[in-house]
Amino acid sequence: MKLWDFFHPPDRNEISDWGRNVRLSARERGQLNQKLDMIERLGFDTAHGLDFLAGPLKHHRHTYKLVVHAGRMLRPMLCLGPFDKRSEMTLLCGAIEKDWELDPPDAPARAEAKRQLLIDPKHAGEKLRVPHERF
Amino acid sequence: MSDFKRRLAKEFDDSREYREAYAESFANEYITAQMKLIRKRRNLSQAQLGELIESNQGRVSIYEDKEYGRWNIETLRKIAMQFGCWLKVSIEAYGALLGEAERFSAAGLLRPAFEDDPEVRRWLGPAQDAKDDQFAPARGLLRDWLHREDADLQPLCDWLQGIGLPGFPDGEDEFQWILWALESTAEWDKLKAILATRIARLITECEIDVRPVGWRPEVLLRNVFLLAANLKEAATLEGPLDPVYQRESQHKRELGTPRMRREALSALRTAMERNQNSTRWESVWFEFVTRGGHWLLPGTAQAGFDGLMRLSPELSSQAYWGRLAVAVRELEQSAFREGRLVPGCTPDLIEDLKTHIGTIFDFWGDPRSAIGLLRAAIPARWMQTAVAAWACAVFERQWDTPIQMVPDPLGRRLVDSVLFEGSDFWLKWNEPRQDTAAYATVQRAKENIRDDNLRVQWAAV
Repeated sequence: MKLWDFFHPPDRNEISDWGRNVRLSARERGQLNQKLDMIERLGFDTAHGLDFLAGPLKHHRHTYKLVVHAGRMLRPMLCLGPFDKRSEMTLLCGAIEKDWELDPPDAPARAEAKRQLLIDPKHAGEKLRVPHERF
Repeated sequence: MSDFKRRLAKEFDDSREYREAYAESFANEYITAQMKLIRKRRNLSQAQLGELIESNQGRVSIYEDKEYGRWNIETLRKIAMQFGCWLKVSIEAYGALLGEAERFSAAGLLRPAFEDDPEVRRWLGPAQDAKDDQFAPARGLLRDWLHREDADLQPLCDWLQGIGLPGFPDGEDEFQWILWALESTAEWDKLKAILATRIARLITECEIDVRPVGWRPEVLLRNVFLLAANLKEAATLEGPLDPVYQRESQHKRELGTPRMRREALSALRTAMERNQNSTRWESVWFEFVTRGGHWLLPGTAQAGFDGLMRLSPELSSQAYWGRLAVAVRELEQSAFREGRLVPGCTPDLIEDLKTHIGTIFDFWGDPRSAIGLLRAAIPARWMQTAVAAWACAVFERQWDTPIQMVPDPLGRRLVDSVLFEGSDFWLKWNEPRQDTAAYATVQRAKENIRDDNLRVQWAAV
Protein backbone atom coordinates (compact mmCIF):
# COMPACT_ATOMS: atom_id res chain seq x y z
CA MET A 1 0.00 0.00 0.00
CA LYS A 2 1.50 3.32 -1.04
CA LEU A 3 0.84 6.39 1.08
CA TRP A 4 0.43 9.91 -0.26
CA ASP A 5 0.11 13.32 1.40
CA PHE A 6 -2.27 16.07 0.26
CA PHE A 7 -0.24 18.88 -1.26
CA HIS A 8 -0.92 22.56 -1.92
CA PRO A 9 1.12 23.63 -4.94
CA PRO A 10 3.70 24.89 -5.23
CA ASP A 11 5.35 23.84 -1.99
CA ARG A 12 3.06 23.15 0.97
CA ASN A 13 2.57 19.60 2.22
CA GLU A 14 -0.65 19.64 4.25
CA ILE A 15 0.37 16.72 6.46
CA SER A 16 3.96 17.75 7.18
CA ASP A 17 2.68 21.25 7.93
CA TRP A 18 0.12 19.90 10.38
CA GLY A 19 2.84 17.85 12.11
CA ARG A 20 4.95 20.99 12.51
CA ASN A 21 2.05 23.19 13.60
CA VAL A 22 0.91 20.88 16.37
CA ARG A 23 4.54 20.40 17.42
CA LEU A 24 4.57 16.62 17.50
CA SER A 25 6.90 15.34 20.19
CA ALA A 26 9.52 12.68 19.42
CA ARG A 27 7.28 10.13 21.14
CA GLU A 28 4.27 11.13 19.03
CA ARG A 29 6.31 11.03 15.85
CA GLY A 30 7.57 7.55 16.75
CA GLN A 31 4.08 6.22 17.30
CA LEU A 32 2.63 7.93 14.24
CA ASN A 33 5.38 6.73 11.91
CA GLN A 34 5.16 3.21 13.32
CA LYS A 35 1.42 3.11 12.66
CA LEU A 36 1.83 4.36 9.10
CA ASP A 37 4.67 1.87 8.43
CA MET A 38 2.39 -0.92 9.57
CA ILE A 39 -0.53 0.21 7.44
CA GLU A 40 1.77 0.45 4.45
CA ARG A 41 2.67 -3.21 4.94
CA LEU A 42 -0.67 -4.63 5.97
CA GLY A 43 -2.81 -2.93 3.36
CA PHE A 44 -6.13 -1.25 3.96
CA ASP A 45 -8.38 -4.26 4.59
CA THR A 46 -6.21 -5.86 7.25
CA ALA A 47 -5.36 -2.55 8.92
CA HIS A 48 -9.04 -1.68 9.04
CA GLY A 49 -9.93 -5.15 10.33
CA LEU A 50 -7.39 -4.74 13.11
CA ASP A 51 -8.83 -1.33 14.07
CA PHE A 52 -5.72 0.65 13.16
CA LEU A 53 -8.14 2.78 11.17
CA ALA A 54 -11.56 3.95 12.27
CA GLY A 55 -14.32 4.72 9.82
CA PRO A 56 -15.76 5.41 7.41
CA LEU A 57 -16.80 8.50 9.34
CA LYS A 58 -20.41 9.53 9.78
CA HIS A 59 -21.59 11.69 6.83
CA HIS A 60 -18.24 11.19 5.11
CA ARG A 61 -18.25 7.67 3.78
CA HIS A 62 -14.85 7.91 2.08
CA THR A 63 -12.95 9.29 5.05
CA TYR A 64 -11.17 7.25 7.71
CA LYS A 65 -9.15 8.34 10.70
CA LEU A 66 -5.92 6.85 11.87
CA VAL A 67 -6.10 5.92 15.55
CA VAL A 68 -2.95 6.85 17.43
CA HIS A 69 -3.03 7.09 21.22
CA ALA A 70 0.17 9.00 21.82
CA GLY A 71 0.58 11.82 24.37
CA ARG A 72 -2.39 13.30 22.52
CA MET A 73 -5.02 11.40 20.53
CA LEU A 74 -3.70 11.91 17.00
CA ARG A 75 -6.29 11.36 14.30
CA PRO A 76 -4.96 12.14 10.81
CA MET A 77 -7.76 11.83 8.23
CA LEU A 78 -7.23 9.74 5.16
CA CYS A 79 -9.03 8.08 2.29
CA LEU A 80 -8.52 4.99 0.18
CA GLY A 81 -7.13 5.82 -3.24
CA PRO A 82 -8.70 8.05 -4.43
CA PHE A 83 -7.29 6.95 -7.80
CA ASP A 84 -6.27 3.37 -7.14
CA LYS A 85 -8.27 2.08 -4.20
CA ARG A 86 -6.44 -1.22 -4.12
CA SER A 87 -2.95 0.02 -3.69
CA GLU A 88 -2.88 3.52 -2.26
CA MET A 89 -4.17 5.74 0.51
CA THR A 90 -3.95 9.50 0.81
CA LEU A 91 -3.50 11.42 4.05
CA LEU A 92 -5.80 14.41 3.63
CA CYS A 93 -5.48 16.47 6.79
CA GLY A 94 -4.38 16.25 10.39
CA ALA A 95 -6.57 16.26 13.51
CA ILE A 96 -6.34 15.68 17.24
CA GLU A 97 -9.15 14.28 19.35
CA LYS A 98 -9.79 15.54 22.86
CA ASP A 99 -12.81 14.75 25.01
CA TRP A 100 -14.45 13.07 22.00
CA GLU A 101 -14.13 16.27 19.99
CA LEU A 102 -11.89 16.71 16.99
CA ASP A 103 -9.58 19.65 16.57
CA PRO A 104 -10.30 21.12 14.08
CA PRO A 105 -13.95 20.14 14.59
CA ASP A 106 -14.64 20.11 10.85
CA ALA A 107 -11.64 17.87 10.07
CA PRO A 108 -13.78 15.17 8.34
CA ALA A 109 -15.43 17.80 6.14
CA ARG A 110 -12.05 19.34 5.32
CA ALA A 111 -10.72 15.93 4.45
CA GLU A 112 -13.66 15.22 2.16
CA ALA A 113 -13.23 18.61 0.48
CA LYS A 114 -9.61 17.77 -0.23
CA ARG A 115 -10.57 14.36 -1.58
CA GLN A 116 -13.07 16.05 -3.88
CA LEU A 117 -10.32 18.38 -5.10
CA LEU A 118 -8.14 15.37 -5.88
CA ILE A 119 -10.78 13.64 -7.99
CA ASP A 120 -12.18 16.78 -9.60
CA PRO A 121 -11.40 16.58 -13.33
CA LYS A 122 -10.86 20.35 -13.31
CA HIS A 123 -7.72 19.77 -11.30
CA ALA A 124 -6.48 16.85 -13.36
CA GLY A 125 -2.79 17.27 -14.04
CA GLU A 126 -2.24 19.44 -10.97
CA LYS A 127 0.14 18.08 -8.39
CA LEU A 128 -2.22 17.89 -5.43
CA ARG A 129 -0.50 15.05 -3.62
CA VAL A 130 3.04 13.84 -3.07
CA PRO A 131 4.50 10.59 -1.70
CA HIS A 132 4.09 10.58 2.07
CA GLU A 133 6.84 12.35 4.01
CA ARG A 134 7.66 10.75 7.35
CA PHE A 135 6.99 12.78 10.48
CA MET B 1 20.58 -1.94 1.20
CA SER B 2 17.00 -1.26 2.22
CA ASP B 3 16.00 2.42 2.14
CA PHE B 4 13.36 1.76 4.76
CA LYS B 5 15.85 0.29 7.24
CA ARG B 6 18.35 3.07 6.57
CA ARG B 7 15.69 5.74 7.21
CA LEU B 8 14.40 4.03 10.33
CA ALA B 9 17.91 3.52 11.72
CA LYS B 10 18.55 7.24 11.24
CA GLU B 11 15.35 8.12 13.08
CA PHE B 12 16.23 5.73 15.90
CA ASP B 13 19.66 7.29 16.11
CA ASP B 14 18.23 10.82 16.28
CA SER B 15 16.19 10.33 19.42
CA ARG B 16 15.98 7.79 22.18
CA GLU B 17 12.46 8.88 22.99
CA TYR B 18 11.47 8.32 19.36
CA ARG B 19 12.89 4.81 19.13
CA GLU B 20 11.37 3.79 22.44
CA ALA B 21 7.95 5.03 21.36
CA TYR B 22 8.27 3.29 18.00
CA ALA B 23 9.31 0.02 19.63
CA GLU B 24 6.56 0.16 22.24
CA SER B 25 3.93 0.87 19.63
CA PHE B 26 5.28 -1.90 17.37
CA ALA B 27 5.32 -4.47 20.18
CA ASN B 28 1.78 -3.58 21.26
CA GLU B 29 0.42 -3.78 17.77
CA TYR B 30 2.30 -6.97 17.03
CA ILE B 31 0.77 -8.87 19.94
CA THR B 32 -2.78 -7.54 19.51
CA ALA B 33 -2.77 -8.07 15.75
CA GLN B 34 -1.45 -11.59 16.28
CA MET B 35 -4.08 -12.40 18.90
CA LYS B 36 -6.90 -11.15 16.68
CA LEU B 37 -5.70 -12.83 13.51
CA ILE B 38 -5.06 -16.22 15.11
CA ARG B 39 -8.36 -16.11 16.99
CA LYS B 40 -10.23 -15.40 13.76
CA ARG B 41 -8.25 -18.10 11.93
CA ARG B 42 -9.34 -20.58 14.66
CA ASN B 43 -12.96 -19.44 14.20
CA LEU B 44 -13.24 -18.33 17.82
CA SER B 45 -15.33 -15.39 18.98
CA GLN B 46 -14.04 -13.17 21.76
CA ALA B 47 -16.63 -14.73 24.06
CA GLN B 48 -15.49 -18.28 23.20
CA LEU B 49 -11.85 -17.42 23.77
CA GLY B 50 -12.81 -15.68 27.02
CA GLU B 51 -14.47 -18.84 28.20
CA LEU B 52 -11.49 -20.99 27.26
CA ILE B 53 -9.12 -18.82 29.29
CA GLU B 54 -11.56 -18.60 32.20
CA SER B 55 -12.31 -14.96 31.55
CA ASN B 56 -14.98 -13.20 29.49
CA GLN B 57 -15.60 -11.42 26.20
CA GLY B 58 -15.01 -7.99 27.72
CA ARG B 59 -11.55 -8.92 28.97
CA VAL B 60 -10.57 -10.46 25.61
CA SER B 61 -11.69 -7.28 23.91
CA ILE B 62 -9.41 -5.34 26.25
CA TYR B 63 -6.51 -7.72 25.62
CA GLU B 64 -6.98 -7.17 21.88
CA ASP B 65 -6.83 -3.40 22.30
CA LYS B 66 -3.41 -2.23 21.18
CA GLU B 67 -3.49 0.66 23.62
CA TYR B 68 -3.99 -1.63 26.62
CA GLY B 69 -0.29 -2.28 27.03
CA ARG B 70 -0.50 -4.08 30.38
CA TRP B 71 -0.89 -7.73 29.42
CA ASN B 72 0.27 -10.11 32.03
CA ILE B 73 2.43 -13.00 30.97
CA GLU B 74 0.16 -15.59 32.55
CA THR B 75 -2.86 -14.36 30.54
CA LEU B 76 -0.89 -14.29 27.30
CA ARG B 77 0.39 -17.80 28.03
CA LYS B 78 -3.17 -19.03 28.53
CA ILE B 79 -4.23 -17.47 25.22
CA ALA B 80 -1.22 -18.98 23.40
CA MET B 81 -2.03 -22.41 24.83
CA GLN B 82 -5.63 -22.17 23.67
CA PHE B 83 -4.30 -21.43 20.17
CA GLY B 84 -2.18 -24.60 20.35
CA CYS B 85 1.01 -22.51 20.53
CA TRP B 86 3.54 -21.42 23.15
CA LEU B 87 4.43 -17.97 24.44
CA LYS B 88 7.87 -16.55 23.83
CA VAL B 89 8.96 -13.43 25.74
CA SER B 90 12.25 -12.02 24.60
CA ILE B 91 14.45 -8.93 24.98
CA GLU B 92 15.65 -7.72 21.58
CA ALA B 93 18.13 -5.28 20.11
CA TYR B 94 16.93 -2.36 17.96
CA GLY B 95 18.63 -3.88 14.91
CA ALA B 96 16.09 -6.68 15.01
CA LEU B 97 13.26 -4.15 15.01
CA LEU B 98 14.49 -2.69 11.69
CA GLY B 99 14.04 -6.08 10.03
CA GLU B 100 10.80 -6.92 11.80
CA ALA B 101 9.22 -3.58 10.93
CA GLU B 102 10.23 -3.98 7.30
CA ARG B 103 8.95 -7.56 7.01
CA PHE B 104 5.76 -7.02 9.01
CA SER B 105 2.81 -8.75 7.41
CA ALA B 106 -0.41 -10.39 8.47
CA ALA B 107 0.65 -13.79 7.12
CA GLY B 108 3.86 -13.55 9.12
CA LEU B 109 1.83 -13.28 12.33
CA LEU B 110 -0.15 -16.49 11.88
CA ARG B 111 1.01 -19.64 13.71
CA PRO B 112 -0.23 -23.19 13.18
CA ALA B 113 -1.68 -25.16 16.09
CA PHE B 114 0.46 -28.02 17.33
CA GLU B 115 -1.67 -30.60 15.51
CA ASP B 116 -1.24 -28.79 12.18
CA ASP B 117 2.37 -27.75 12.62
CA PRO B 118 4.16 -29.10 9.52
CA GLU B 119 7.53 -28.97 11.22
CA VAL B 120 6.32 -31.16 14.08
CA ARG B 121 4.58 -33.52 11.63
CA ARG B 122 7.76 -33.83 9.62
CA TRP B 123 9.78 -34.95 12.61
CA LEU B 124 7.07 -37.33 13.70
CA GLY B 125 7.30 -39.22 10.39
CA PRO B 126 9.61 -42.19 9.73
CA ALA B 127 13.21 -41.07 10.31
CA GLN B 128 14.73 -41.90 6.93
CA ASP B 129 11.80 -40.49 4.99
CA ALA B 130 11.63 -37.20 6.84
CA LYS B 131 14.03 -35.45 4.48
CA ASP B 132 13.33 -37.34 1.28
CA ASP B 133 9.62 -36.89 1.50
CA GLN B 134 9.36 -33.40 2.87
CA PHE B 135 7.63 -32.25 -0.32
CA ALA B 136 5.09 -35.09 -0.37
CA PRO B 137 2.18 -33.15 1.22
CA ALA B 138 2.77 -30.09 -0.96
CA ARG B 139 3.24 -32.26 -4.04
CA GLY B 140 -0.07 -34.04 -3.46
CA LEU B 141 -1.91 -30.76 -3.02
CA LEU B 142 -0.31 -29.14 -6.07
CA ARG B 143 -0.91 -32.13 -8.32
CA ASP B 144 -4.57 -32.35 -7.33
CA TRP B 145 -5.02 -28.67 -8.03
CA LEU B 146 -3.18 -28.79 -11.34
CA HIS B 147 -5.22 -31.78 -12.52
CA ARG B 148 -8.51 -30.06 -11.71
CA GLU B 149 -9.81 -28.52 -14.91
CA ASP B 150 -11.94 -25.74 -13.42
CA ALA B 151 -9.45 -24.91 -10.65
CA ASP B 152 -9.88 -21.65 -8.78
CA LEU B 153 -6.76 -19.43 -8.75
CA GLN B 154 -7.12 -18.50 -5.07
CA PRO B 155 -5.06 -21.46 -3.75
CA LEU B 156 -2.14 -20.46 -5.98
CA CYS B 157 -2.36 -16.89 -4.63
CA ASP B 158 -2.32 -18.25 -1.08
CA TRP B 159 0.58 -20.65 -1.65
CA LEU B 160 2.67 -17.96 -3.25
CA GLN B 161 2.11 -15.81 -0.17
CA GLY B 162 3.23 -18.61 2.14
CA ILE B 163 -0.26 -19.63 3.21
CA GLY B 164 -1.50 -23.22 3.19
CA LEU B 165 1.59 -24.75 1.59
CA PRO B 166 2.22 -27.96 3.54
CA GLY B 167 5.68 -28.37 4.97
CA PHE B 168 6.75 -24.91 3.92
CA PRO B 169 9.50 -23.77 6.28
CA ASP B 170 10.48 -20.21 7.10
CA GLY B 171 13.45 -18.93 5.19
CA GLU B 172 12.57 -20.58 1.88
CA ASP B 173 10.98 -18.89 -1.11
CA GLU B 174 7.41 -19.96 -1.76
CA PHE B 175 7.91 -20.30 -5.53
CA GLN B 176 10.97 -22.46 -4.91
CA TRP B 177 9.01 -24.80 -2.66
CA ILE B 178 6.43 -25.31 -5.41
CA LEU B 179 9.15 -26.05 -7.96
CA TRP B 180 10.97 -28.48 -5.66
CA ALA B 181 7.73 -30.28 -4.90
CA LEU B 182 6.83 -30.70 -8.57
CA GLU B 183 10.20 -31.16 -10.25
CA SER B 184 10.64 -34.65 -8.87
CA THR B 185 7.41 -35.93 -10.42
CA ALA B 186 7.46 -38.05 -13.56
CA GLU B 187 4.82 -35.82 -15.16
CA TRP B 188 6.80 -32.62 -14.55
CA ASP B 189 6.72 -31.46 -18.17
CA LYS B 190 2.96 -31.74 -18.31
CA LEU B 191 2.46 -30.09 -14.93
CA LYS B 192 4.87 -27.30 -15.86
CA ALA B 193 2.78 -26.42 -18.91
CA ILE B 194 -0.44 -26.40 -16.84
CA LEU B 195 1.18 -24.28 -14.13
CA ALA B 196 2.38 -21.78 -16.76
CA THR B 197 -1.18 -21.52 -18.09
CA ARG B 198 -2.52 -20.87 -14.59
CA ILE B 199 0.11 -18.18 -14.00
CA ALA B 200 -0.80 -16.59 -17.31
CA ARG B 201 -4.44 -16.57 -16.18
CA LEU B 202 -3.51 -15.10 -12.81
CA ILE B 203 -1.59 -12.27 -14.46
CA THR B 204 -4.16 -11.61 -17.17
CA GLU B 205 -7.47 -12.14 -15.42
CA CYS B 206 -6.61 -10.82 -11.96
CA GLU B 207 -4.14 -8.12 -13.07
CA ILE B 208 -2.27 -8.71 -9.83
CA ASP B 209 0.14 -5.90 -10.60
CA VAL B 210 -2.71 -3.36 -10.58
CA ARG B 211 -5.10 -4.85 -8.05
CA PRO B 212 -3.19 -6.23 -5.08
CA VAL B 213 -4.38 -9.65 -3.98
CA GLY B 214 -4.17 -11.04 -0.46
CA TRP B 215 -2.21 -9.99 2.57
CA ARG B 216 1.20 -9.92 0.96
CA PRO B 217 0.59 -8.65 -2.58
CA GLU B 218 4.24 -7.72 -3.15
CA VAL B 219 5.39 -11.19 -2.11
CA LEU B 220 2.79 -12.68 -4.42
CA LEU B 221 3.99 -10.57 -7.36
CA ARG B 222 7.62 -11.45 -6.75
CA ASN B 223 6.86 -15.15 -6.43
CA VAL B 224 4.61 -15.24 -9.49
CA PHE B 225 7.33 -13.67 -11.61
CA LEU B 226 10.09 -15.89 -10.22
CA LEU B 227 7.94 -18.96 -10.78
CA ALA B 228 7.31 -17.78 -14.35
CA ALA B 229 11.05 -17.23 -14.78
CA ASN B 230 11.84 -20.77 -13.69
CA LEU B 231 9.13 -22.42 -15.77
CA LYS B 232 10.60 -20.94 -18.97
CA GLU B 233 7.36 -21.43 -20.91
CA ALA B 234 7.88 -18.52 -23.28
CA ALA B 235 5.04 -19.44 -25.62
CA THR B 236 2.54 -19.20 -22.76
CA LEU B 237 4.07 -16.48 -20.61
CA GLU B 238 5.60 -13.85 -22.88
CA GLY B 239 2.17 -12.53 -23.91
CA PRO B 240 0.82 -12.01 -20.37
CA LEU B 241 4.09 -10.55 -19.06
CA ASP B 242 4.30 -7.83 -21.68
CA PRO B 243 1.17 -5.92 -20.55
CA VAL B 244 2.53 -5.93 -16.98
CA TYR B 245 5.74 -4.30 -18.23
CA GLN B 246 3.73 -1.84 -20.33
CA ARG B 247 1.44 -0.91 -17.42
CA GLU B 248 4.41 -0.35 -15.11
CA SER B 249 6.11 1.77 -17.75
CA GLN B 250 2.99 3.87 -18.17
CA HIS B 251 2.60 4.26 -14.40
CA LYS B 252 6.17 5.44 -14.05
CA ARG B 253 5.90 7.78 -17.02
CA GLU B 254 2.72 9.37 -15.66
CA LEU B 255 3.34 9.40 -11.91
CA GLY B 256 7.11 9.32 -11.72
CA THR B 257 7.28 6.07 -9.73
CA PRO B 258 6.56 2.47 -10.59
CA ARG B 259 3.62 0.78 -8.92
CA MET B 260 5.60 -2.29 -7.88
CA ARG B 261 8.45 -2.47 -5.40
CA ARG B 262 12.01 -3.12 -6.47
CA GLU B 263 11.98 -6.85 -5.63
CA ALA B 264 8.88 -7.41 -7.76
CA LEU B 265 10.31 -5.35 -10.63
CA SER B 266 13.54 -7.30 -10.45
CA ALA B 267 11.59 -10.56 -10.57
CA LEU B 268 9.58 -9.24 -13.51
CA ARG B 269 12.82 -8.57 -15.37
CA THR B 270 14.00 -12.14 -14.72
CA ALA B 271 10.65 -13.51 -15.89
CA MET B 272 10.87 -11.44 -19.09
CA GLU B 273 14.48 -12.49 -19.66
CA ARG B 274 13.63 -16.19 -19.50
CA ASN B 275 10.32 -16.14 -21.35
CA GLN B 276 11.16 -14.57 -24.69
CA ASN B 277 9.32 -15.91 -27.67
CA SER B 278 9.89 -12.90 -29.91
CA THR B 279 12.16 -9.88 -30.15
CA ARG B 280 9.67 -7.48 -28.52
CA TRP B 281 11.98 -6.77 -25.54
CA GLU B 282 15.19 -6.40 -27.56
CA SER B 283 15.25 -2.65 -27.00
CA VAL B 284 14.80 -3.18 -23.25
CA TRP B 285 17.97 -5.30 -23.11
CA PHE B 286 19.91 -2.86 -25.27
CA GLU B 287 18.96 -0.04 -22.94
CA PHE B 288 20.56 -1.92 -20.05
CA VAL B 289 23.75 -2.30 -22.08
CA THR B 290 24.03 1.20 -23.47
CA ARG B 291 23.00 3.09 -20.31
CA GLY B 292 24.34 0.62 -17.76
CA GLY B 293 20.79 0.29 -16.44
CA HIS B 294 17.14 0.72 -17.30
CA TRP B 295 14.76 3.58 -16.55
CA LEU B 296 12.20 1.23 -14.98
CA LEU B 297 13.62 -2.24 -14.32
CA PRO B 298 16.42 -2.75 -11.79
CA GLY B 299 19.70 -4.17 -13.04
CA THR B 300 23.03 -3.31 -14.64
CA ALA B 301 24.55 -3.87 -18.08
CA GLN B 302 24.77 -7.58 -17.26
CA ALA B 303 20.97 -7.72 -17.17
CA GLY B 304 21.03 -6.56 -20.79
CA PHE B 305 23.45 -9.33 -21.76
CA ASP B 306 21.35 -11.88 -19.87
CA GLY B 307 18.27 -10.76 -21.76
CA LEU B 308 19.96 -10.77 -25.16
CA MET B 309 21.60 -14.13 -24.44
CA ARG B 310 18.20 -15.73 -23.91
CA LEU B 311 16.55 -14.03 -26.90
CA SER B 312 16.01 -16.92 -29.36
CA PRO B 313 19.26 -18.66 -28.46
CA GLU B 314 20.54 -20.65 -31.42
CA LEU B 315 24.20 -21.47 -32.02
CA SER B 316 23.96 -21.18 -35.76
CA SER B 317 21.89 -17.99 -35.87
CA GLN B 318 23.76 -15.02 -37.30
CA ALA B 319 21.09 -12.65 -36.00
CA TYR B 320 21.57 -13.99 -32.49
CA TRP B 321 25.34 -13.52 -32.45
CA GLY B 322 24.96 -10.21 -34.26
CA ARG B 323 22.86 -8.83 -31.39
CA LEU B 324 25.38 -9.93 -28.78
CA ALA B 325 28.35 -8.60 -30.73
CA VAL B 326 26.61 -5.24 -31.11
CA ALA B 327 25.91 -5.23 -27.36
CA VAL B 328 29.62 -5.72 -26.66
CA ARG B 329 30.46 -2.90 -29.06
CA GLU B 330 27.83 -0.64 -27.46
CA LEU B 331 29.44 -1.20 -24.07
CA GLU B 332 32.85 -0.50 -25.51
CA GLN B 333 31.63 2.71 -27.14
CA SER B 334 29.91 3.95 -24.01
CA ALA B 335 33.20 3.38 -22.13
CA PHE B 336 34.92 5.34 -24.88
CA ARG B 337 32.47 8.21 -24.42
CA GLU B 338 33.05 8.11 -20.66
CA GLY B 339 36.82 8.22 -21.13
CA ARG B 340 37.34 4.74 -19.68
CA LEU B 341 39.21 3.42 -22.71
CA VAL B 342 42.55 3.68 -20.93
CA PRO B 343 44.41 1.24 -18.69
CA GLY B 344 44.03 1.70 -14.96
CA CYS B 345 40.46 3.05 -15.01
CA THR B 346 38.09 1.60 -12.47
CA PRO B 347 36.25 -0.59 -13.26
CA ASP B 348 38.76 -1.94 -15.75
CA LEU B 349 37.12 -1.95 -19.17
CA ILE B 350 38.67 -5.19 -20.45
CA GLU B 351 37.80 -6.99 -17.22
CA ASP B 352 34.29 -5.67 -17.54
CA LEU B 353 33.95 -6.85 -21.14
CA LYS B 354 35.61 -10.16 -20.28
CA THR B 355 33.00 -10.80 -17.59
CA HIS B 356 30.12 -10.12 -19.98
CA ILE B 357 31.63 -12.21 -22.77
CA GLY B 358 32.46 -14.92 -20.22
CA THR B 359 28.82 -15.18 -19.16
CA ILE B 360 27.85 -15.74 -22.79
CA PHE B 361 30.43 -18.53 -23.09
CA ASP B 362 29.32 -20.07 -19.80
CA PHE B 363 25.67 -19.91 -20.87
CA TRP B 364 26.53 -22.08 -23.86
CA GLY B 365 29.43 -24.07 -22.39
CA ASP B 366 30.48 -24.78 -25.96
CA PRO B 367 33.58 -23.45 -27.80
CA ARG B 368 31.42 -22.91 -30.89
CA SER B 369 29.89 -19.94 -29.06
CA ALA B 370 33.31 -18.21 -29.11
CA ILE B 371 33.47 -18.61 -32.88
CA GLY B 372 29.86 -17.43 -33.28
CA LEU B 373 30.60 -14.26 -31.35
CA LEU B 374 33.90 -13.60 -33.12
CA ARG B 375 32.28 -14.03 -36.53
CA ALA B 376 29.69 -11.40 -35.61
CA ALA B 377 32.34 -9.11 -34.14
CA ILE B 378 33.76 -8.31 -37.58
CA PRO B 379 30.67 -6.53 -38.97
CA ALA B 380 30.00 -5.10 -35.49
CA ARG B 381 33.46 -3.43 -35.61
CA TRP B 382 34.82 -4.25 -32.23
CA MET B 383 37.74 -2.25 -30.98
CA GLN B 384 40.88 -3.77 -29.51
CA THR B 385 39.58 -3.84 -25.94
CA ALA B 386 36.70 -6.15 -26.89
CA VAL B 387 39.03 -8.35 -28.95
CA ALA B 388 41.37 -8.60 -25.96
CA ALA B 389 38.46 -9.45 -23.64
CA TRP B 390 37.28 -12.14 -26.07
CA ALA B 391 40.78 -13.68 -26.26
CA CYS B 392 41.19 -13.68 -22.48
CA ALA B 393 37.75 -15.24 -21.98
CA VAL B 394 38.74 -17.97 -24.45
CA PHE B 395 42.06 -18.60 -22.66
CA GLU B 396 40.42 -18.67 -19.26
CA ARG B 397 38.18 -21.52 -20.41
CA GLN B 398 41.11 -23.22 -22.18
CA TRP B 399 39.15 -23.07 -25.39
CA ASP B 400 42.08 -21.83 -27.50
CA THR B 401 42.75 -25.39 -28.72
CA PRO B 402 39.11 -26.59 -29.03
CA ILE B 403 38.13 -23.60 -31.17
CA GLN B 404 40.69 -24.72 -33.71
CA MET B 405 38.63 -27.90 -34.05
CA VAL B 406 35.33 -26.16 -34.72
CA PRO B 407 34.31 -27.20 -38.21
CA ASP B 408 34.64 -24.36 -40.64
CA PRO B 409 35.59 -21.64 -38.20
CA LEU B 410 36.56 -18.29 -39.54
CA GLY B 411 39.78 -19.70 -40.79
CA ARG B 412 42.37 -20.98 -38.43
CA ARG B 413 44.72 -18.20 -39.35
CA LEU B 414 42.24 -15.50 -38.43
CA VAL B 415 41.31 -17.16 -35.13
CA ASP B 416 44.98 -17.53 -34.22
CA SER B 417 45.82 -13.98 -35.05
CA VAL B 418 42.85 -12.62 -33.09
CA LEU B 419 43.90 -14.70 -30.09
CA PHE B 420 47.45 -13.47 -30.47
CA GLU B 421 46.60 -9.84 -31.04
CA GLY B 422 43.98 -9.85 -28.31
CA SER B 423 46.23 -11.39 -25.69
CA ASP B 424 49.12 -9.17 -26.77
CA PHE B 425 46.96 -6.08 -26.34
CA TRP B 426 45.78 -7.33 -22.93
CA LEU B 427 49.36 -7.94 -21.76
CA LYS B 428 50.37 -4.42 -22.74
CA TRP B 429 47.22 -3.01 -21.09
CA ASN B 430 48.14 -4.87 -17.89
CA GLU B 431 51.84 -4.22 -17.93
CA PRO B 432 51.71 -2.27 -14.66
CA ARG B 433 50.13 -5.32 -12.99
CA GLN B 434 52.40 -8.10 -14.17
CA ASP B 435 52.31 -9.90 -10.89
CA THR B 436 48.76 -11.24 -11.37
CA ALA B 437 48.13 -14.91 -12.05
CA ALA B 438 45.96 -13.95 -15.01
CA TYR B 439 48.90 -12.12 -16.57
CA ALA B 440 51.08 -15.21 -16.39
CA THR B 441 48.32 -17.43 -17.81
CA VAL B 442 47.69 -15.20 -20.79
CA GLN B 443 51.41 -14.77 -21.43
CA ARG B 444 51.87 -18.55 -21.49
CA ALA B 445 48.88 -18.93 -23.78
CA LYS B 446 50.23 -16.29 -26.12
CA GLU B 447 53.60 -18.04 -26.27
CA ASN B 448 51.84 -21.29 -27.11
CA ILE B 449 50.11 -19.78 -30.06
CA ARG B 450 53.38 -18.46 -31.29
CA ASP B 451 55.11 -21.76 -30.84
CA ASP B 452 52.34 -23.79 -32.40
CA ASN B 453 51.74 -22.17 -35.65
CA LEU B 454 51.35 -18.46 -35.59
CA ARG B 455 54.89 -17.63 -36.49
CA VAL B 456 54.67 -19.87 -39.50
CA GLN B 457 51.36 -18.43 -40.53
CA TRP B 458 52.43 -14.83 -40.09
CA ALA B 459 55.35 -15.66 -42.34
CA ALA B 460 52.92 -17.09 -44.86
CA VAL B 461 50.83 -13.94 -44.67
